[in-house]
Amino acid sequence: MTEFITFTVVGLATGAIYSIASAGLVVTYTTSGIFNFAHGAIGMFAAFMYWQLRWDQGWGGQWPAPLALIFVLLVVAPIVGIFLQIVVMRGLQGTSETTKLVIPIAVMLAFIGITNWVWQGAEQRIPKPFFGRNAKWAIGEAFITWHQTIIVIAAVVLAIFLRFFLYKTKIGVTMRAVVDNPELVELNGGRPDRAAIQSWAIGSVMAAVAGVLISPLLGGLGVLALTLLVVNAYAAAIFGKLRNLPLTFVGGLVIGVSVSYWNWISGTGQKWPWLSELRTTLPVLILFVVLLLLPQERIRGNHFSRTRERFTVPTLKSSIVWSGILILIVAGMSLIITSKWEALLTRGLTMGIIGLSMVLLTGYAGEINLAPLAFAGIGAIAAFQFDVGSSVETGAGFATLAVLLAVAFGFLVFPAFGLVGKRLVVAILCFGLSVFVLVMFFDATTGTGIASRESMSLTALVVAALISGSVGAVVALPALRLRGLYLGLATFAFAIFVDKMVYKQRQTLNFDVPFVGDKEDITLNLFNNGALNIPRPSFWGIDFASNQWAMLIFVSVIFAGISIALVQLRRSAYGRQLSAMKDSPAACATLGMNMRRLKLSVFTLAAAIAGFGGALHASNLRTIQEDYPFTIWEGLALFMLTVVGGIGYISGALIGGIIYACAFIVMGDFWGKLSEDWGSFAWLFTFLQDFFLLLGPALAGIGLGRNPSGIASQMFDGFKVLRKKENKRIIIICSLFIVASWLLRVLEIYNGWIFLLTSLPIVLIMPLLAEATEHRRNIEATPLIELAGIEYEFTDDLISYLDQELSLPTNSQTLRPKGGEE
Amino acid sequence: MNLLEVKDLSVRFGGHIAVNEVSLNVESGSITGLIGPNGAGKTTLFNAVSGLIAPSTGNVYFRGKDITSLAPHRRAQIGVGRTFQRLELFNSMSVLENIRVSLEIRNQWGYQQRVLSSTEIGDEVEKIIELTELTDVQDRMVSEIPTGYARLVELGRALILSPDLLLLDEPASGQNEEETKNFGLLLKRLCNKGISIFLVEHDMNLVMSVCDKVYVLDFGDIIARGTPSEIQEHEAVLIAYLGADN
Repeated sequence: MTEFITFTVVGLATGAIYSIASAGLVVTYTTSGIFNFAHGAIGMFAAFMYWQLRWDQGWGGQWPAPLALIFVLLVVAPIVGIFLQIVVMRGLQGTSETTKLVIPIAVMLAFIGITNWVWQGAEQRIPKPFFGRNAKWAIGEAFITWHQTIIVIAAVVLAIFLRFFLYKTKIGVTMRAVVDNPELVELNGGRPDRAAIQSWAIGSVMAAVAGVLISPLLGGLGVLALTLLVVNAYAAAIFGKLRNLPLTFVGGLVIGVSVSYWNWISGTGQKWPWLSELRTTLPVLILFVVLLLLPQERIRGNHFSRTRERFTVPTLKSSIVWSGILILIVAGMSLIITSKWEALLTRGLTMGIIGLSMVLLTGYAGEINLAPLAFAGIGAIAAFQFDVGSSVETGAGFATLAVLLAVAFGFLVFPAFGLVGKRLVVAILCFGLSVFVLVMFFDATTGTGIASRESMSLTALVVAALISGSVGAVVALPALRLRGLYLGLATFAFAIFVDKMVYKQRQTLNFDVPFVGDKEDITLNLFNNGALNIPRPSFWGIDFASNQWAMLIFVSVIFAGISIALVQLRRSAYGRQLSAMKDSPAACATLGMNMRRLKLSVFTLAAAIAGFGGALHASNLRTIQEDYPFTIWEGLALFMLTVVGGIGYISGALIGGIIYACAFIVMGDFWGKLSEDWGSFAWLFTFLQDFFLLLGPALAGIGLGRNPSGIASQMFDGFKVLRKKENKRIIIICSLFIVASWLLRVLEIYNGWIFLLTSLPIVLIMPLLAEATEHRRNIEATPLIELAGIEYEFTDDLISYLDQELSLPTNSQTLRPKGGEE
Repeated sequence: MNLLEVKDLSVRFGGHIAVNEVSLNVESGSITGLIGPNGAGKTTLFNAVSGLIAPSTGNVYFRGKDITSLAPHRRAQIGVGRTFQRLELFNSMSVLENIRVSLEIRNQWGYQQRVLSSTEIGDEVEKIIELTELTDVQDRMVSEIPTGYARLVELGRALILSPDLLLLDEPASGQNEEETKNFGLLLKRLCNKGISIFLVEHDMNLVMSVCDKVYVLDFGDIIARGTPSEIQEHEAVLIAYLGADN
């Protein structure tokens, strides 16, 4: 009984914190339509702030608790909320759900960046509970701390306050009215904008309260741990369908108590080591289940596509040409950059390949997946376990599994390409057979229990794609009815699940493969004690392991190949259907489209591409760890940067991948080098270095609000003028200059910086030159009448034209100036 | 014979009753009109018939078969096509692609029909473009064409599925008088080809000139039914449209 009471109280206390946090989330969502992904990060930031003021021995520390509380909760938090609404969120009206999701993610990353920046160092920061650790009272033999008591009281008070505020005050009623119809509120003299600001202030305060209350329960302050903890509140908010506050409060309590009881039953994860991480994963599992149990959303119309985002589809020819150019540029670059930069660029390209999965899924089909790197991670694990890896021996068991996966993949994806009947069967059989041949003849895993091969075979990439594709299908299957934000949250839950349950899994798992002997069963240790070594591939006698340039070119060829295939796919009947589904689900349904089948196929395909890219990325890095490079945070950053790059375009994935892997490091390095060289300004350059490294990605994301179609579309617009035939000469001349500069660099006549400083301006100047010549051509074609007699001759024809225009009597024939306006 | 039969169908949104125990039927080979003031529940009724919203009570029968619990795409596959009052076009595509993708979707229904080759699809699309007189704008993006054309694109997109029943939700709004007249002729032609039409329309001239039978919906209730001439004389209809004082 004592244990029951103790665990119930612990559960209620954590649950109450979730309730508070999720109530804040609901308030902001209902008034502004934006799901504040940064909610957890705001709570985390407030917790750090409070710790600084209350407990730190250094600057600002040792404030009395009430003062620190008032300052953090009633000054800092509302200011943060108001600032976010005015500066960032207000600009999101009329953007797609993807953009509305990405910008709060960017804000979240910004808070994580700022906190990491301000509170650097490995110092242990331990906030104490209110009235100390020993302040407790008892029910029977169970002790309840004052901190827990305060949490529950705070939750009840805030619940009553919110109820009163929203129903009995004018501001609250306006805020609720904004939810129903902002235009109507405006017509009646209400101010939806002001209501949104107020709701963001309140939401931010709630997040801060949750952050301050939860931090002492954690032991030490951790940026990511705290952020994720408040993320648990998302499940509670979904309990109330992001609208209903009482249900949200109940949801929070249910989650808190479930986790607490699970801890009780499982002996805090000791009883079943397999499930030891379930205590941290349970809230997101609840989130996933609640999302699935939500009543079916109505099939929506196409207000989606009346958004500001616009993507055009390239022709197959241009995709082939540009892929060739990409490979050429990469090959050319590999001759003039150091292997460090080659490594960075390779990372950018492998990340770009993972980004391509998002172009297909989100850009083309409009489905949101916040777990791209979870699928990539699964691909990398598959490549390790089934090719180079530790446990699985190539043989009948593995071959059966691979062929079964191939058949399932074919069955899920091929019909969507329009293959039916005999052609479908033949295609699936051929695919299954080729996988069989690959596995039987090119895979030679020995099952010795250690990484048994020095190179990764191409089988690994195919198996990685197949396995992550299958996992994609399994995840998508229950989530097919979800769209937009809800699908985003479901995939987010999956990403956290993979982070905790897969990457941190240390137990050996056994799979009984049917129809073959016990010897062929698969036994694997999923994440081999926190690190997997995946060697680089090796074929045609090329040594990819020691030649980074070879890996770089190999990866760029693969990127180009997948890109061309994707463009071709987008231009096919399949691609048009994806696009149709994105534009108007309602129309698709009434045209007889089975959207579930289409979604399942695209999800499977995208997950397969991500898995393929993940295996390649891991093999390029050689080692992956539980906390790098496939975590949820990295995944969110990549998703965000791909959207920033332009998620509707292949080049968006390329830009996203390269920004992710190189850009901020380049800038950081640049300022770092300056601070080394210019000692007296070191403080400024170090500041700028930290700024770009920690905040760069977030700021790039926040900047997206200005151009939701992404950098790629901006570049296409900027360089559009060069596509005209008349401007070909400019392209040729400028390209020659760049090639000449490149040659000088190859011959080591000057260094990389000079190459950069000569070629980059030429690239940027090209469209300007083209515009200038075009302007001149226009002027020549339509001469200004005012310049007659100055720039060109004052002819009789012109005189009679003027006479006619001015309705003067004239004897000559009516004519107008060459090319002039009528 | 009744092609479509709606029986005691109600749709409630929370406390609001949008459609209240409506029963009506559309006969095979006929044009049936559904008129009523704004907010009468016409589009809601269409949504319930095409499966986009689930009715609270009542049933929908198509060719005598109960389709109330059938998914919207399955209803389309058995022959119920529709257009929308609030345009639901694929805005990222051209006119031609909008119609083409519709046939490509049909091509994947996967049963009771032959899979068409790419050339056959092209030919079919061309026929529909000609029928709906969209040749001049076929390569333009649908987001850029006038509403009148856009409504024709929706019609073409539905027609290419060869439906037995076509639900048209205010297809003539956004068209001028001349265009509406031609549109009426087109509807007659379609009807002669064997497509039954269920028409929601505010343009009374069009409704009265093409419809064989007309239902009048007001505040979710059917207040009158009959031939166009009967409806024009019906007292309840006059009150609903013009107000009690008139």
